[in-house]
Amino acid sequence: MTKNYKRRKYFINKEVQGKFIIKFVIASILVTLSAITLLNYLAYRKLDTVLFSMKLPQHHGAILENEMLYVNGLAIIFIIFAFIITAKKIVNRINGPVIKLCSDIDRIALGNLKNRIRLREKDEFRDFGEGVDEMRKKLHEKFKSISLLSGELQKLSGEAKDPKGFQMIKKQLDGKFVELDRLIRQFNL
Amino acid sequence: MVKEKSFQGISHSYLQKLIVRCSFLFIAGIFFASIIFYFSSLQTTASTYLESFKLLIQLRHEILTKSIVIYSSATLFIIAGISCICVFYSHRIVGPIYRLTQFVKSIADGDLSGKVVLRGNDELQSLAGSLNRLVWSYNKNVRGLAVKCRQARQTFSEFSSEEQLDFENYCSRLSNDIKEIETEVEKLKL
Repeated sequence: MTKNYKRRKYFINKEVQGKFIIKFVIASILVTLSAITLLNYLAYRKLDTVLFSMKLPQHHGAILENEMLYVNGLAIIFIIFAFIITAKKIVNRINGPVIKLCSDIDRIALGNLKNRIRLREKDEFRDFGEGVDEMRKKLHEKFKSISLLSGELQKLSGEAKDPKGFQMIKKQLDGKFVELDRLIRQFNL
Repeated sequence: MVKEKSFQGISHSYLQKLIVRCSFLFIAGIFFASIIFYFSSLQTTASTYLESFKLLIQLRHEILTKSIVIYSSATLFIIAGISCICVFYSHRIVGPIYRLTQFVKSIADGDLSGKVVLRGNDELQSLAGSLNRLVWSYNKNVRGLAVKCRQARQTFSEFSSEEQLDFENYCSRLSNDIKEIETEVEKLKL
């Protein structure tokens, strides 16, 4: 059930894809801002300590090397956690409706066209859910018409007691058969 | 019909790859920012106390601007990279949904001949599997209905007023054929 083909458009659903991107971008910005703040705090503290000490170092070199390593390490740990939480949240938000839709579609496949398919207001892919429900409704209407027609056929055929009587309802029966055939032909098999 | 009963949501490998790629990009960005920051704050050696003091004061004044400029520039590159990764990864979910929506529309219009095929690395294969099973099942139902209908029509067309003796037999055959159509429809919960 898999195929390799390329899609030309990469931005299909701006709302869903926008939310996806924004969450990761916000996480990155927050961690970087925190890293800058912490780095400055530690750098000022270090520089003040050095400046107010009685003996200044003759060779400064990378005076803030330890602070930088410390801040970077923390930033990496935090960003990994932030990305894990963000990705899990996004995936959970998508998995909920997908799992529900899968079970709803399986139920329809088993022949149950009665129950409506409803996703919650905040669920992702509500349009798709509505599309599936629309499909269920249309299939229901089509099969309902077939069911009614077969009921009518059954009723009509039971009315004939003799060949004369049958001759009278023959035209009606023929019309019903043509209609039933037309309804079945609506489906492209 | 192929029964596929696996995890119906988004796969764990998708989640892992997304996290690893974004994290890797962030680490690379931070790493380059650190290197630039390191060399920009590297002090030259001072021979006297006063010179050393001046250098440290200068560094203290510049540190805020330097860190903001360097780390913000790195963040911009990180954001651009992460946005690209997110577009590709979200497309692996949104793309199939778009394709499945089109497929569902065609089913609603009565097309039960198709099959939805997703790309190899697309997510939501289970949803596509469910829809394919649905189409397969209704295709079978409608084919059954068409056969029963044809059979009943065939029986119906056999009627002739001269066959008076067989009329009872004819009626029961026609009635049975029509009943079979009803039985076929009754398989569905309408």
